[in-house]
Amino acid sequence: MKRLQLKGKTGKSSQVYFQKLGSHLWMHWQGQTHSILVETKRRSTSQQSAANADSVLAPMPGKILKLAVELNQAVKKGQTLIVMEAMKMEYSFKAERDGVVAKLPFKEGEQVNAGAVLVALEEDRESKTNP
Amino acid sequence: MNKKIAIANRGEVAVRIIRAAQELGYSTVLLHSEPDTESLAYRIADETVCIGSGPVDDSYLNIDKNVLAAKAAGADYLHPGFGFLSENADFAQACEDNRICFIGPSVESIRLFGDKISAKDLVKKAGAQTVPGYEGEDQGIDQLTIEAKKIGFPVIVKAAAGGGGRGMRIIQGEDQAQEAIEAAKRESKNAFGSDKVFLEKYLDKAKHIEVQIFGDASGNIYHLFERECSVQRRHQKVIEEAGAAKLDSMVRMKILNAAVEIAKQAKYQNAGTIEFLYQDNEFYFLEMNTRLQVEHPVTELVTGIDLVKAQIVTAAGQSLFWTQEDIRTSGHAIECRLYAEDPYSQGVPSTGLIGASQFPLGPGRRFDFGFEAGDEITSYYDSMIAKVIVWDESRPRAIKKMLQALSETIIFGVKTNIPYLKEILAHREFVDGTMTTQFISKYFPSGLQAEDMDKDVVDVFEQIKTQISAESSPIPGSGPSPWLESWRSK
Repeated sequence: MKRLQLKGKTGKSSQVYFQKLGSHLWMHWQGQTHSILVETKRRSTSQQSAANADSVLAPMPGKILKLAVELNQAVKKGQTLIVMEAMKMEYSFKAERDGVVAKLPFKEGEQVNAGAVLVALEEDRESKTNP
Repeated sequence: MNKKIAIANRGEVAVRIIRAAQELGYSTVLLHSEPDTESLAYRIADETVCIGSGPVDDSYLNIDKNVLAAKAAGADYLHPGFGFLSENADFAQACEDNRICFIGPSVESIRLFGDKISAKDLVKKAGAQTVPGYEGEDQGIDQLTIEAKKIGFPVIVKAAAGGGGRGMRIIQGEDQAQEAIEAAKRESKNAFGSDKVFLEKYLDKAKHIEVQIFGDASGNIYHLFERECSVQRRHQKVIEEAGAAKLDSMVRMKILNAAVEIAKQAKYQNAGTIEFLYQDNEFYFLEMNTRLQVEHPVTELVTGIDLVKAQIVTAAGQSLFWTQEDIRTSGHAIECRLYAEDPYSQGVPSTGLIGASQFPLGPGRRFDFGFEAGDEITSYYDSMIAKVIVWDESRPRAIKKMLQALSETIIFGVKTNIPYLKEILAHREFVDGTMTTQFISKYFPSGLQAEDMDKDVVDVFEQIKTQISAESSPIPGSGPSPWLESWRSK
């Protein structure tokens, strides 16, 4: 951790603590801690493409506890899709919109890594053709 | 030779116990998992024994491995801390069977209070009331749903073997019953090895008030006054204080007396906490925790008593320096649990290497932590990484001090709930002291809303980047060290 003395516009000085850790720059200034991404890695693009609203991504490493839906099942907004456990707590993920389950790659009891796609939804074809 | 205490825990509580033991002249042996070699407890313990891998079933929840390691290390005593095996009667029994003194209550007491049903029977005998509910043997989902309807929604489903918020769900109406009961059963099975649950009327505007109890080696029962832990998220405490924020002095007296009666009825020995819910001038027994609590420091700061040392002294059969008449409280203490999590993403745990940490010491400030720069926060365990505890002469001053201490606390490498804690501390209802266990779900249902970065903050980042690139750019004329070159060429 390093320290830097800043001069403000009004001449008032303040102190900032900072540290670069991996791809992030961390700093503590005026009672608050912030971090920003300063280096982008190549694999982040593939992560981004999966991170649209139609997919549920594992926010952290953990274990799949329950699949509440099946592949090709039509689901309603707010319906529970999948339940995972991480850090000893259960997290259930609900559908953000109506759709059909297009991907459900894990089984109950399986370990998953952070960022893994747990469920992917696609548009309900019927409702698309018959608006 | 010094007597030896084994510590069957990790993180800040392991540090707390090791230091208390060492100060009393005991030698310590830490029973730890593989990933926990990078932790403060590992560095300060007199001896360490690795008992298994990261997953808790192979280490911190494994009775055989803990007992065997403690025995092999020649431990005379074992302190279980909180969580993990601390309230497991079989573990306490296994320690006794191997002539290791378990620092805590008797096996019978743990068993009695560990079963919520026998606990409730005892509480009724002691003259206190419990929350209406269903405790039957029929554990079918249909039967439980019918019973929930009988009690009247909202109903809470809880793990019979539980504690700490795991295996608990609130059911607002019949349509939610099945999903909630199933989830509670799964979580309970996972955390405690049993999927037995029971149902209770859910009190929707109650305060969580608990009493610190202590039974000495001669069988005397004392109370160390009350704590309030109404600020809870998903039934896990976030902010605790001593004494209660707002409690009528007559009610306080009644609750303290009820707690002492319950402990006396159980012939309780060592430290324990009796939890109550308080609503509409009635208080109901919730549960008894037969162990040290996470929030014990707030009681220590207002009473000046070291609870961990009292535990060790009592386990050794020695007498304490105090009796009930000596216990007085002074001022007000608040504890905030620091969780490694992202408050702007609904509190999702944040894992990673701690790059730097700075805890700003000062009068009335206490920091209980177990990890420092260079240590890694993994996803194997609970995300609580430290506790910030403050004491001041009044509650408003303690709140101000906590806000100041949190603002000066620095942790780089993992995100923390500090911004969230500060919002809570500044909230009108918290400041008034009228908050109930509904506080967080009412005002902070999904953590904090992410905001765009302030322009000033962006400016500061730019200045830091400029500074970093100035430091790392090569100075003209300075090539690679000739020594390094010659070394390499050999």
